[in-house]
Amino acid sequence: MSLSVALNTARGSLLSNGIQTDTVSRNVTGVGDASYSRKVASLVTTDGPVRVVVARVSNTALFDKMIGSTSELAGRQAILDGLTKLEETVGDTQADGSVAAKVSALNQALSNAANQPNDSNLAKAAVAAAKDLALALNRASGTVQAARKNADDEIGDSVLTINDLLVQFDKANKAVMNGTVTGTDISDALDNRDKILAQLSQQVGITTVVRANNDMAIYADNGSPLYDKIARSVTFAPTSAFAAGTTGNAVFIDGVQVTGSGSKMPLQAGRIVGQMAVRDEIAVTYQAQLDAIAGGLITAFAETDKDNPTTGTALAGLLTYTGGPTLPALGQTGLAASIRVNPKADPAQGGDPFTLRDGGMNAGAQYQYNASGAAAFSDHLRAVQTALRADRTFPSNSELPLSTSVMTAAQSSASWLEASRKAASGRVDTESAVLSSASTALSNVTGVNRDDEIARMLELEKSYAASAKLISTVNAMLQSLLDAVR
Amino acid sequence: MRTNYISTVSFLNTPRASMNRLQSDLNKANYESTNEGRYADVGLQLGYRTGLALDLHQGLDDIDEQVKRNALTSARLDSTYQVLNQVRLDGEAFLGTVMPGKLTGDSASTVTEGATAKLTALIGQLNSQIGGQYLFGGINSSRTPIENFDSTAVTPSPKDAFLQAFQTAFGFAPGTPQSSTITAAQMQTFLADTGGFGQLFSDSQWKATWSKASDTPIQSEIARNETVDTSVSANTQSLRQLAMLYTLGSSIGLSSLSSATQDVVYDKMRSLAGSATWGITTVQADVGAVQARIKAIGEQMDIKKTILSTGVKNFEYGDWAEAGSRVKSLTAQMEVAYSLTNQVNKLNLFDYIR
Repeated sequence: MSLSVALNTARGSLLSNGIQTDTVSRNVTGVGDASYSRKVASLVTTDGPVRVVVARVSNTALFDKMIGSTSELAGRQAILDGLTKLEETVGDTQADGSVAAKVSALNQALSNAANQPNDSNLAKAAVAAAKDLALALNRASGTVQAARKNADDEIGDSVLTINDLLVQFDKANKAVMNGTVTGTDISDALDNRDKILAQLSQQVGITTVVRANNDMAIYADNGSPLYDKIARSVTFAPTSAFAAGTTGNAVFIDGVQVTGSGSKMPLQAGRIVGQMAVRDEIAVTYQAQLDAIAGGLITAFAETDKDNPTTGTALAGLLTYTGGPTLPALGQTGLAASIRVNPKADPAQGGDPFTLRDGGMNAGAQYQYNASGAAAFSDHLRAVQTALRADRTFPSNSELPLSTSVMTAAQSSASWLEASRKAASGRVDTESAVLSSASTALSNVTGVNRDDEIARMLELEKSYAASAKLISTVNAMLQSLLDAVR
Repeated sequence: MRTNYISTVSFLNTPRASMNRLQSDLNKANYESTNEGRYADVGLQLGYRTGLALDLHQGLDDIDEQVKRNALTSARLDSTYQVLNQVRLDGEAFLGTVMPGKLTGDSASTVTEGATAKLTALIGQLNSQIGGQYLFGGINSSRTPIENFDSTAVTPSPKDAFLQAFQTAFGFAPGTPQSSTITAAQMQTFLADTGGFGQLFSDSQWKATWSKASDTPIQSEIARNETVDTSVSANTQSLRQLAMLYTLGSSIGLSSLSSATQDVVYDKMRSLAGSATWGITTVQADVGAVQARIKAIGEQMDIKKTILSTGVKNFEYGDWAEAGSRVKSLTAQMEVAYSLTNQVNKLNLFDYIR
């Protein structure tokens, strides 16, 4: 081996040293970035000088676990957020803000009125309590529909985000493919592509397939292609206003329905799925409960035909609704939104609160219970209280007990909501722990250790010094040779 | 080669990430320890048992309201009892004045005056009210139950009705000299239940002239599903007999009657006074029974309230002392986490290689 070859090798070593140092400095820059994957510059010895190949540390299994967990958590978090919004209709058990507490307050006001039926202030107080209850139901119904509208908006935002990310993904994927074909360093392009996947997984559960030339295809977790050579369009038509009974639209991927009962294979995870559950299941069931309670209240306060208790027509009394005075059918929707105090009993609307004691909110002698006009007549007030406590039928879609009193139904509804929230909160906690450990595991495999990079730099420093020394030694040897020749 | 590789991100973040959890736990523990151990988020803690907790709270509110209502009912019953006692004592005192041994030739005018005063007093007593409710009106509690004797509000007034009945029976007004011609037998017929005087106090005539009270008593729910009668109607037989007694004494014109006929009247008075006062004792006993029941229920409610409060405590409150010690241990943990974060951040190879 001649000295000139040794010089060449030393020169090549300096070059590879430079590339390796560049890798170290890139890694140090990425220390704080959780989505950065460590670059490894490995020496490949071929015939002649060494070559440096830059690769990127990755772990597909851990990455898939991480994005899967991200989707799952986003969905569960959306459900918990929705339930927390609905929970404001129940509030603290002590605060007496729940519908159940308002029913109880009305019952107490009725008891007080029945104890001194001649006292118009107590009658007014009972009407006021009924008004409060009706308002609580109206507000609760408003909150539920606002939660549905909010979920619908979020789905719309998710769909926009997905489409946007898919466009970005298209660019990132092309960069990776070009780099692969031309043989350049694609590690940063791969990082970029993974970053987009992580963002995408928050919106919807995904699986990926890598094909020739590092081309990647993305499928939603139900198998619908989101990206395959080109970005597929995800479409969704937002609904402008929600009321009880309004059905929101489904999400379509590439023209195929992927959410709701009309979908053969619905999406499994991601924010979209969580928001869909809030919009189409949880809020709808809770609305059905509120409507059933409102219907039960209207029926409990109905004025019955005193002459024909069984065959006569009962009409809405103290509490009525838009379709009154005809009593609502079982399972009728929208009652919680339209329940209100009968103007005939409301002193603020020119009504007479004593109609609560005497009957007569509807025309006809059969609805006049206090024929003699006695001031201390309490039979009807007591009959109403009995009706409040009496068992009645609740529709099965409300998930309330099928036969129970209005009061118990209101309590059951609060229980149902809090139980759902507790379960959702538990699921979020579990999945957070899973995501946290998956992220840590991934970070420990693909992340950068600063101390390790510094140690490597010291190593490179020494090898640089050695190469430099080698060059100067060869130089000296050549010099002494030339000196001898002179 | 590297089996224990750890990225700097997770190395630095691990102690810091636990801080978030520690802080939110500490926040909860702080709330609990400053609220006697009440859970920070009761709904989340209770889950499906929230309905039960609501039920307990409502039970407590119910009891409070029921106690207030029963206090009102008790006040009405106490007043009723006092009035009944007074009219009974008045009746007994009047009975004393018409006892055979007490009667002399001049007694007639004394008895007449006494009866007139007692009649006014009786009507006044029966029209007592409390909190806007007439005590003896039954459910018709907003109207004066008994008309004044010479009221102009009804025709005929009780007085006129009596005068007409007397006129019809004997053909002249009471107190006129002709009265002395009334025989004992005629008087007996007049005073009998089927006679002109007796008929004045029959159900229909009593309600037409004397009384606006309803026979239906006020009912109060003194406990859940326990409804009792909590008023006495002025139409009660004994009270009606008292009115009959004093009407007879004040208006029949005792001194104008022959002595045999007077005896018949006195006889009737004694019998009325006797049965009326005895009857009122029975009514008083009924009122007393309800008062006793309300008192007993009050004690039951106290017990029930304690039970419900304990239930609420068990549901919504954790261990107060435990919350306090949790605050301490979390604070200690936080301090460790802070100090670790600081120490870990200081670890840097650079500081050691130069």
